[in-house]
Amino acid sequence: MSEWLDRYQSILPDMIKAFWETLYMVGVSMIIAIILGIPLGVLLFVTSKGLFWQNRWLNFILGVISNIIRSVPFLILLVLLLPFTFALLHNTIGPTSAIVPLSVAAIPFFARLVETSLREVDKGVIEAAIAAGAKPWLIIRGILLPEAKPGIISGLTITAISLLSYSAMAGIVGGGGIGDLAIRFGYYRYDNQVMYTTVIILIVLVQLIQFIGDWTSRKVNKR
Amino acid sequence: MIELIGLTKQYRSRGKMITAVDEVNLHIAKGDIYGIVGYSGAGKSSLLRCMNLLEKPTRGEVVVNGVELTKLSKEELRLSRQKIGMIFQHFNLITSKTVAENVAFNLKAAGKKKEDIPGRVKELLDLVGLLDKADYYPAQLSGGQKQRVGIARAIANDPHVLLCDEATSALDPKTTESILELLKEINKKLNLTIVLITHEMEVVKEICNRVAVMESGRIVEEGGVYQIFSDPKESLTRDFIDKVMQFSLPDRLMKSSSGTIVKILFREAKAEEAVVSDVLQSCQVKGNILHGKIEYIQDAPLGFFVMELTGEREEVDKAVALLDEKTAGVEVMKP
Ligand SMILES: Nc1ncnc2c1ncn2[C@@H]1O[C@H](COP(=O)(O)OP(=O)(O)OP(=O)(O)O)[C@@H](O)[C@H]1O
Ligand SMILES: [Mg+2]
Repeated sequence: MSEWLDRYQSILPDMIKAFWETLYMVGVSMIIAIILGIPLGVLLFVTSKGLFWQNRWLNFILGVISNIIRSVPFLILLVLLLPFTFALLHNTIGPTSAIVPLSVAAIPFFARLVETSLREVDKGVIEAAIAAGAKPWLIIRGILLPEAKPGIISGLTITAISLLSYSAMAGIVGGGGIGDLAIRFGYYRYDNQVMYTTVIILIVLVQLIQFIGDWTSRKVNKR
Repeated sequence: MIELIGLTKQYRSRGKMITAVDEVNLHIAKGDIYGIVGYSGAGKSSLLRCMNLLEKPTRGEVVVNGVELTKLSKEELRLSRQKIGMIFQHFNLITSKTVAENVAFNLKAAGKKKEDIPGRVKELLDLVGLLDKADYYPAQLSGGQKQRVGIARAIANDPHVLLCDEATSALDPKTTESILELLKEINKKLNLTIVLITHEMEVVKEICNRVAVMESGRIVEEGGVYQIFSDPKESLTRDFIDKVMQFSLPDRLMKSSSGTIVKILFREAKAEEAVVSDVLQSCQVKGNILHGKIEYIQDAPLGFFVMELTGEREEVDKAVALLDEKTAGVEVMKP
């Protein structure tokens, strides 16, 4: 028993560091996904057929790019992006470097979820705004985004959870974070204690994100 | 106020061409409450939606308040639409915004100054009687209240015209009546031209001054409401009117009666009753009233009564001919 506790004592600093690294990777990638994914999702939606910025080619090109990125397994995307990451940061190791592939994966993933929630917005409400002579910009800001907010928040939840599991994969190639810890101790050194602990931390994190996401989504839903 | 010239709208769906609106010419004057009736699929919505170019006409002209909409640029059309209000069957309110914010949205759309918006919103909500619901969300309102919000936001920018697509079809009769009252009030107060689509002749009877009857994309009959009700030319129009002027005699009565059954129409303020009794007396025919109904259309009575006439064959025929001459019309239901 005391051996077991001692082990925790010695591993604790590593664990705390890994925990913060994970939060850092996921957090920054989420922010980038929000900043770029929402506009991409909106663009995918408003350029589609029957909408006010209908544009077949732009819609097609954006759609194909998002689909390609989403169809590449994350581990392979990670490797494929190494030169890009290096060009951007002159480094490919560590949590900051992991943010690059994480963001690249998260942007189209989240954008599609945003697009899906926008599709759920009642067409009649958009039509009423067009009939009122609103500018497209006002329709996006004043109708599309607020009406889709509950769906977008659910999308954020799903994206955050996916990023958490991706970040663990990023650990495999030296990205740091909880996943890295699990690989280094659990896999290479057969240290079950560390491995299970990290898994439990990940489970708790996922539950927490899901809970907060669901609660917020319900809170903003006025329907 | 609204002029449609040779308006045609076709849809292409699954390779087939559907003509929803077919060469329609229509003139709607300022201050009219203009009804358009027709069965489902007649093309009413398509016609109405061409009036603010929510549907782009395939051919023809749409002139609203002197402006030919089909010739406008995107930006000019957007500005013109601010002066054409529209309300919808399913209200189409922004669910994530409060009542006040819904109305404010249309003011924002028209570029109203921020500091002027709250005052104007208040004014509008007061007009539709929803001042106390300003901070409610649409989900917390009844259907009638939702449509009131729809009306408030549609008239927010002082439009010339209000387009109503089945605005009362989702409401119960009582609520329908209150919404129609409100529309009537707005029409008077703001001298707003209203175009109203419906499949219920009751609605037309209640508030319209003119009506057009649509079938397969065409307007088959058009005119003043009283004139259409009292003297419909087309069988389709008659179908619609019969729904309002509906009556039915028990079959048993029709079969068992030995005399001639006639329906005598009367109109405006004529004293048909006196005419009828005079005629019957002069012809030595006995009359027995079986049914009667009077509707007031824009305060003018329109009605009929159904009588059983008994007497000598010749005398009865003579009486029917005389009645036909002296009243608004006689229809022999059973010779
Ligand atoms: N967007 C569309 N694409 C293809 N066909 C359409 C479209 N909108 C309407 N139509 C067709 O045009 C015809 C007229 O439709 P419209 O909606 O104008 O009729 P309506 O008189 O308003 O009927 P309702 O009383 O059911 O609302 C119908 O045959 C309909 O199927
Ligand atoms: Mg319709």
